[in-house]
Amino acid sequence: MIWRYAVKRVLQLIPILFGITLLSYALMQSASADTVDMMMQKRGMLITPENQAVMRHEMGLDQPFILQYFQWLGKIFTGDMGYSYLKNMDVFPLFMKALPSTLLLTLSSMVVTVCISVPLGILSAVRQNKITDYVIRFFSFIGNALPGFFVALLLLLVFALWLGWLPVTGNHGFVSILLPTFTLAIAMSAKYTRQVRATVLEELNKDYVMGCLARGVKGRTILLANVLKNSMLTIVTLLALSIGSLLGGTAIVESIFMWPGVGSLAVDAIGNRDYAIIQVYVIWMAVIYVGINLITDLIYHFLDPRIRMQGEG
Amino acid sequence: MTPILSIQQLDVSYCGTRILNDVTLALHTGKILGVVGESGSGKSTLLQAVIGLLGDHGRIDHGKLEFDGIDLIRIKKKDMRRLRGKRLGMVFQHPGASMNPIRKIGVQFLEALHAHGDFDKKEVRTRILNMLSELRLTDGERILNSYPFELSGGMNQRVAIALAMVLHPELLLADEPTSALDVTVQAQVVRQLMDLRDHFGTAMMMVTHNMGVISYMVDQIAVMYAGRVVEYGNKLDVMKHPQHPYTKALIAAIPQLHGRKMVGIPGQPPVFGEPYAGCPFAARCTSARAACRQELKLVPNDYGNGHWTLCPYGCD
Ligand SMILES: Nc1ncnc2c1ncn2[C@@H]1O[C@H](COP(=O)(O)OP(=O)(O)OP(=O)(O)O)[C@@H](O)[C@H]1O
Ligand SMILES: [Mg+2]
Repeated sequence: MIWRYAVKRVLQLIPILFGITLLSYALMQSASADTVDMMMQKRGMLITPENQAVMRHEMGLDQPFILQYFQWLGKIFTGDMGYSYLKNMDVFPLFMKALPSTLLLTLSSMVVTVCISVPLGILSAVRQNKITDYVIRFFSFIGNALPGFFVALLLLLVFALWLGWLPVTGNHGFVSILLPTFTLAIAMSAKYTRQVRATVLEELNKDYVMGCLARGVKGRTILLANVLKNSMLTIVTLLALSIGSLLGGTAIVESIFMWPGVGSLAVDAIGNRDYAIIQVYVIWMAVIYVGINLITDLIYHFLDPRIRMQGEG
Repeated sequence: MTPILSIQQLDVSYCGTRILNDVTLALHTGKILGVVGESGSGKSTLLQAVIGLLGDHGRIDHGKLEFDGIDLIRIKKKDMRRLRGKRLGMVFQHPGASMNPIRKIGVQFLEALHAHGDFDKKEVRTRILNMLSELRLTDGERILNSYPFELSGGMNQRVAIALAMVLHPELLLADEPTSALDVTVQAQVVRQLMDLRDHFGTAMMMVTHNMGVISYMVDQIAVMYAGRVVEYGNKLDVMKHPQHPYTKALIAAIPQLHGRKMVGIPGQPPVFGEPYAGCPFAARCTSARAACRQELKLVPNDYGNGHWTLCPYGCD
């Protein structure tokens, strides 16, 4: 059963997550001054070494590293993820406030990307080396070559400044999501159109297509019920990886459009050495990647009977 | 009686390179034609030309191709699709390769049937199960619920044959249907193909490397060399009295259980697209004469009873 496999995979994730959090905690500890130093810096006053020692003791900073780690981990689980000196509030609510924006942007740009790249990729493959294919390949080449920030600025220039159709930055409801969405979707669509094309072409050359043709199956059925279904195995994996990186917040695009997601939050935090946020961000990224990997695996299992049944055996 | 399949002076090329040259063959209802010849001689190309699946690069340059009086060269694409699967079936070498690996076998049967019209649900089911049991696959329900990778190679090949035969085509093209199977399974599949022929009167064109299969199941033999049919005739005539030196060499190369050592054929056939003078086999022929390498005319030499070769110097 797929559920048994899922449970097995989730259990396997536990040590991985332990490792990642431990590593990130250790890195932060070694890279940064500790909380007491930070408070000193922030408040711009000197604390006597004796008082520092007292404060460190109160905060448990004089305890062995591994104990501190577990205390920290325990707090994370209860939603206490530390305090942001920059924003003067707890990190957890800060993060939770930014998350929906990132989720929304991820969803919208993925939807647009799929809607553009899957049909174009298929069309390009079916019309291989014909004029349609060349036109699609030309545009996907351009889309691939343009850097993200350039597309962002170009879109801003045209749609916000010249035409005045869309707001420049911030979140003002539905319309504000259009520019960041398309900035992300253009680059991804260009990439995926090529990948969908390559995948479909590969599938079209498989023996079963010849078999279907020899049985008189209609071209449309071969394409939709066979080739596309088989191509999905590859395409889903690729898309899932992109979702992972989008959920991490697309720092550049979020910053340019001042989109209030976790990406801009992290960029701000890094600029200001707000370690509590950075740490949560790192953990979030780790959870995303591990989680997306798991989901991809499960989908793959679900789609490909060969793997599905292996797991059962 | 007019043949169900008639191929006349057929020339086929891939990307402008001539592969098949002047192929003439006829096949009658209920007969099995074995096509033999070494790798690269154009056997698969011939079958693909018949079923119209030469692909984007393949082209029929010249000749006639008629199936039950239908001109397969000038036929509309749409009509050709309707013939495939319904009146013309094809089986491939690799068991299971003609089936989509990630779809259940039952679904693929339904797909093949629905490509040729609407069938009553009950009727479809019995029809499929009957065809499976025709191939000694008694566990039909389970097979229809399986994926190709869950079955053994031999079972897959029988399923593939059932899939090709489910609409009772009048002509079955089989491209080395047994070469990927182990010997005992090979024998079963060959037996079942013959049973199908007996039950449905299906004409079959069988490509094979296996002279044992040939001598057991076919009625006529066509020997191909470098894109040409160099000898054609009834099985016994060709096997017992081969006239073309290449056929003789092929027969001599059949592995024997006792006695004679296997005799390979030294040398290579001419490269497609590169012109040669005279007979394409001359360079490897032990009894070639000066004329064979120069101005030899490749016209059929009749030995009676439909048996002919492209070699003018045939001898027994
Ligand atoms: N799709 C193709 N495009 C270009 N050339 C091809 C194609 N298919 C076959 N050929 C060429 O046509 C020639 C005949 O190939 P074919 O597959 O018909 O031989 P065959 O007799 O079936 O060989 P085998 O016994 O190995 O299956 C070969 O030289 C091959 O390279
Ligand atoms: Mg072949």
